[in-house]
Amino acid sequence: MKSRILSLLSLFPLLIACNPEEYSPVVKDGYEINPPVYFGDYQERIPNDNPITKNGFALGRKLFYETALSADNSISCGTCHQQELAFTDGKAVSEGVEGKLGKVSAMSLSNLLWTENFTWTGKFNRLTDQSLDPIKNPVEMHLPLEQAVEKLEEQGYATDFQKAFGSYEITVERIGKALAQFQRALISSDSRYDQYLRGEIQASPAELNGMNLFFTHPIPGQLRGANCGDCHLGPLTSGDIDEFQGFHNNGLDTDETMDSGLMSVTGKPEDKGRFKAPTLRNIAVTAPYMHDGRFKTLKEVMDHYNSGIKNSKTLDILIIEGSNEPVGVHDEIRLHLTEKEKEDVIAFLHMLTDESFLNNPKFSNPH
Amino acid sequence: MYASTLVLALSVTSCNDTKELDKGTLIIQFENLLDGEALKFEGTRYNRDQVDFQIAVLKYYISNVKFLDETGQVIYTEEESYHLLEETASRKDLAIELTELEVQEVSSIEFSIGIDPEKNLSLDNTGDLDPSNEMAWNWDTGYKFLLMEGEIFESEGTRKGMVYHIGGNENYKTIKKEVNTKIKAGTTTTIEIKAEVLSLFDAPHYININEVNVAMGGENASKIAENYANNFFSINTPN
Repeated sequence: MKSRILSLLSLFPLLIACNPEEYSPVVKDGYEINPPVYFGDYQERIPNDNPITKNGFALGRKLFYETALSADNSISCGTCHQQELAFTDGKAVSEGVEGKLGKVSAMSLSNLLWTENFTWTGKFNRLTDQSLDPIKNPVEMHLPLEQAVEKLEEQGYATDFQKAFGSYEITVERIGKALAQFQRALISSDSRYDQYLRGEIQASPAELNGMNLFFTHPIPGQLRGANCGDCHLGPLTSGDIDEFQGFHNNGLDTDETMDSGLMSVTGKPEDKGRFKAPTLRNIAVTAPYMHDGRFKTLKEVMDHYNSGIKNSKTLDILIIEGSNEPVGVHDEIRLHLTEKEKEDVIAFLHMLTDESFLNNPKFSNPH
Repeated sequence: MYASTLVLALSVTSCNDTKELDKGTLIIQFENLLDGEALKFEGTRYNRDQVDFQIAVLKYYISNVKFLDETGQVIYTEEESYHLLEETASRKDLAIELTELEVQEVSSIEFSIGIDPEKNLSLDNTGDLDPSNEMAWNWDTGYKFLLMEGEIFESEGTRKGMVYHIGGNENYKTIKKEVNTKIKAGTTTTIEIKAEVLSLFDAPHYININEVNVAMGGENASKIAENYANNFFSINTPN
């Protein structure tokens, strides 16, 4: 009988999905997220079979901070994704169980409804899959997923799953779904930049200059620009959402020394060294920077883009053709910003810090 | 088992749409060409101005679509008419579908390339004007109306980009084309519009792509805009 009710329930999304034009966000027990309009549409990226509900969010939050999801009960998702660091861990590369080091830096988790192809290399299309991977990954939490289910049953999670999904059954898919619900609700939209966009505050001259430089592609002799906004798009400051267009080679290494990046997913040589352009929201608190955490400060990052670019076969065209001075094809690739301009861009980057996000009690450890 | 089949059946019948049968549909189908042939992307090299080049992406906004009758009177104006057309090696999004149209003779169509000044500097846009897409610059500059990126192969071992980001209110251009077609009840009519990439660099302003491999605002962007207003689009006889 129970399974019949389940199968009836599982057909419900069909009814809603009939007319995609009129997707109804009205969900029983819905968790309100209210992102600003200038973030753009997002409904299509909330799967019909996994709307954000209050109980789903609550379960996701509990699981996010659940150390039982690691092999030795030592770490949770929240260990490498700490709220006060905009859900990063302050380390170049993250440390899993038994001190095992990964290869990449923990990515900040915010505004995930406006991105796809998760992780630095675009390995996971669905947030649900991405959420499950660190649990089983040997250099992260290293817990086989079937054991995760058993451990959660022992911990008395069945009631939480019943509230979130309508039955007591704990499944791997449901763990991923609940984690995805929690993470989709992690919206950062009250930084000083947002307040400026909404006309609530004035920006300082340095911030304004930095903002203009950030979003401007330079034209020698005509327009000064820091060339950031070509990849960190719009008010979200994150990469293009379509396919892998938001993945770029930003000149960290030469052909000989670079990591494979997106090529490890697509197998295409032209994708070598391309990594996801992350959101820059709360960037001032997410040091160190880049996929391998090689830069300790925003100053080092600016110096890299200004005068540290290494040319290669896959270096992004928008970086090659981005300079404030006329350059020939055989010249080194340099942005030619002044020290003051670099400082102003950094002033703008500090505007992206959202204290209310970093301190929102709804996102904190509930255990 | 029976119950679930029943629900499934219900859900299928509820999907029937209720389109009015006395209305028609028009699809404006764009096709990007280079030198008269279907545009090909990375992997295919073209030659012009003594250099080889390849295209990675071409995107442009078509907006404010209107129909006119033979006297030049506007007989249809699409509301919220903003369409981002884009083509890459793996993506082709080049059709505008207009539905629920009155049955009528359409003598010509009018549309603009770019975003009108009112919308261009607005913060609250969604859909194809979503400010988080790659076409938004910032609040001071509005949208990129046309974006084309690629690479020039000038000599072995060097890399040189082609980057054309054309925007700015002065480069918003309106184009009128004769179509002489009819919207028919319960039928879809298609108009095919060809967009010739080389005409962006051809007339009235000849632009050497090797010398002007980057244009984003300024004089060269305006020249490209005057070129796209002039001869970027051509119409095939509709069926």
